Amino acid sequence: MKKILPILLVLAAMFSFTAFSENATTITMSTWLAAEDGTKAIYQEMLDDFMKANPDIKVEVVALPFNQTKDQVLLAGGSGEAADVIMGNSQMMGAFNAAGLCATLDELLSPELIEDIYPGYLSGTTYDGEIRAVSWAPHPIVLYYNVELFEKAGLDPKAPPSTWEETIEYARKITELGQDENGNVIYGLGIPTAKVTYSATALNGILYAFGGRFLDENGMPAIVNDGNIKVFETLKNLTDEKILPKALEIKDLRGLFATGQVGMLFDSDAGLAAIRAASGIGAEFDKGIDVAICPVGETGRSETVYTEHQLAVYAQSDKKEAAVRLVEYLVGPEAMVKYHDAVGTLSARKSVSSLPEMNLTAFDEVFNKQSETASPLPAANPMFDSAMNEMTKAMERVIIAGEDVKTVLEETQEILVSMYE
Amino acid sequence: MRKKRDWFMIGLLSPAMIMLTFTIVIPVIVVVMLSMFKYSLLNINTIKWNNFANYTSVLKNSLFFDSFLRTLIYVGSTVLLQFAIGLSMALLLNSKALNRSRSAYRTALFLPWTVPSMVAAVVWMFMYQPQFGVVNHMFGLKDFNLLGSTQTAMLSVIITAVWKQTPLMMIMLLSALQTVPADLYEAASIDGAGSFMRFKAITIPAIMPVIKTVTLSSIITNFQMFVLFFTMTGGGPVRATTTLTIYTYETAFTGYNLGKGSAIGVYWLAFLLIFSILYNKLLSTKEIEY
Repeated sequence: MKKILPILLVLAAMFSFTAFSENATTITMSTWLAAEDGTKAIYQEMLDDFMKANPDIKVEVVALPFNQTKDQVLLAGGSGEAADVIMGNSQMMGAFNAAGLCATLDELLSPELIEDIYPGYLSGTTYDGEIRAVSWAPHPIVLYYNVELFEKAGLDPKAPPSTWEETIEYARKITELGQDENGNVIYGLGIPTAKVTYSATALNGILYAFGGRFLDENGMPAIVNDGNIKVFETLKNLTDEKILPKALEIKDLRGLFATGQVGMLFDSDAGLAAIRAASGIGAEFDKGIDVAICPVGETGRSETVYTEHQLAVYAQSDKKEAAVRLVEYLVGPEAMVKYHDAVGTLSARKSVSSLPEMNLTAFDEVFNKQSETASPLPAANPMFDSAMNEMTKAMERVIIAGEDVKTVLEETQEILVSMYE
Repeated sequence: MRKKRDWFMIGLLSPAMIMLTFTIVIPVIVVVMLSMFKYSLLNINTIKWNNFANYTSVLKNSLFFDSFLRTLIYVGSTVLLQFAIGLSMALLLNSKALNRSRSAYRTALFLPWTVPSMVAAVVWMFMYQPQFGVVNHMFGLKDFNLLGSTQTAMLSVIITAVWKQTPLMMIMLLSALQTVPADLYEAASIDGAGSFMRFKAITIPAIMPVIKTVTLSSIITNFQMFVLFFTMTGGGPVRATTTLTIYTYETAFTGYNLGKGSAIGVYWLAFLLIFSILYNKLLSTKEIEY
């Protein structure tokens, strides 16, 4: 009997496992995390944890390369074949919503979770008054600065600029250092101004800081305003003064910041990994830099925007309840602490971002503090990406071609309005 | 007997024909059909006939003509440079002076062709980098942004394309040069023809079928060039490198307008078809048989 008992137990366990597997609800999730080397291991770990904690749900992954995600999800969604849980970023979600792919989550998510999300992050996933996604990995743009260049320029690295006037003044002083020991030009400030849509996307925070905006209250482009004109003129002047490198995108600027050729850089927490990699010394590079919240401008608060990953539930899914459970788990404390530990991801939830595990470094504290005032991108319209492409071209026309700011903004406004109509 | 032979021929051809039908004929038909409908990526289930509005809308947009002109400038410059450099290198490799080391040179010069376009784009972006790029360092350009200036962005992409594509042109022309019978040159020398006259009257006409094929293939390839522009400049700055491929991509995918994107593709297809026919006819008159 003693010999038979273990065998019976094993058989019973096998039988129960088979029974569980057969009865488990299978849901799918489309994501680029599973397609990227840097994230696929931690993503799978989070899914395994979820399935262990929820044995009645099995998750199958649809791995999509990032740059194909938008088109693939739109095509799959239009033919009724999208995954139950759809991951996208702020820009993609505008298109997914316009295509009717995202379910309304107001009734499906727990009220505690909704209450726990920072208002800025919640508004970024709210379309026409309804919650259509959950903010998962927000990346607020902050101000990075090089401690050594600060000291060389006679600035106190413990007192980063708190206003835009100070930022420009500090940048000018750093630029006056001239060249480094290898003869490379040193620039005071790094703001992306060219080539890719991200340049204009990130610019939205600076527009807010100067009292400008991209959209009016009706959601239509309204770029000809004093704040925006001031921003474009400032960028032009800073470039002409060689405080700002001319017509570079964020990845070029990260390279310059990582090699000590840019004193201050506006970038998100997600940029830190690229900066470390470009420095050639990895996380050691952090010792020579510091992070501050964005300087205060016309509005009197630290204005910035964030890009983010969002999780939505497919509107045609017949397993919405299981899908929502996965979404709630992924934004919950257990998964987020692991995710943060692996790749430094932030949380959009107040209770999670205040956990000690999410604030282990001084950088984390600044990123989380910036979350309190970060605004969502005005990306609800599916044409947002196209619009940002035009805005980047407008920056190029002013900075590279030296065209008149007001004329450029007026001509761009016409294009944008026709796009949004 | 003949019937049997015909069936055998059809049997041999059918796998290729079936493959071409699925990879070329059907997609072309689909694109032509799509171009006549209002078809948005945001609503792929609703396709409406729109009375050729996509075609008229394309023609009303100056961006289309600007992009088309930039494409012609890019293709013309790239193919001409490639041909001139490729032919010079092929002549050099075909000369008696390099008899022993020809294969070593040929292998070395062919290497850029083996580099994927994406890799070539990234490598050249590093070389053009304003702060630490080797090109700026060599020519003393300080921090001038070659890819970020409207005056130099297109030229920079053309140089990359020429670097990447010239080896294929060179190899094809070299193989053609090696098939020209030596007795033609001997006869011409006896008749008193100098080296330029031999090149003009014998070499060029003798290799004309290959010239026709490789240049036409290069024109078509470069008309479709997307990777270099998308990676190196994204069509900028200020649309200085927005060619038809970038414009089509922006229209179809960033602007979600698959119908209009298809209409641009159809104009493009029609142009290339007409051009190829005329080009073939024109160069065929320059060929000689020996």
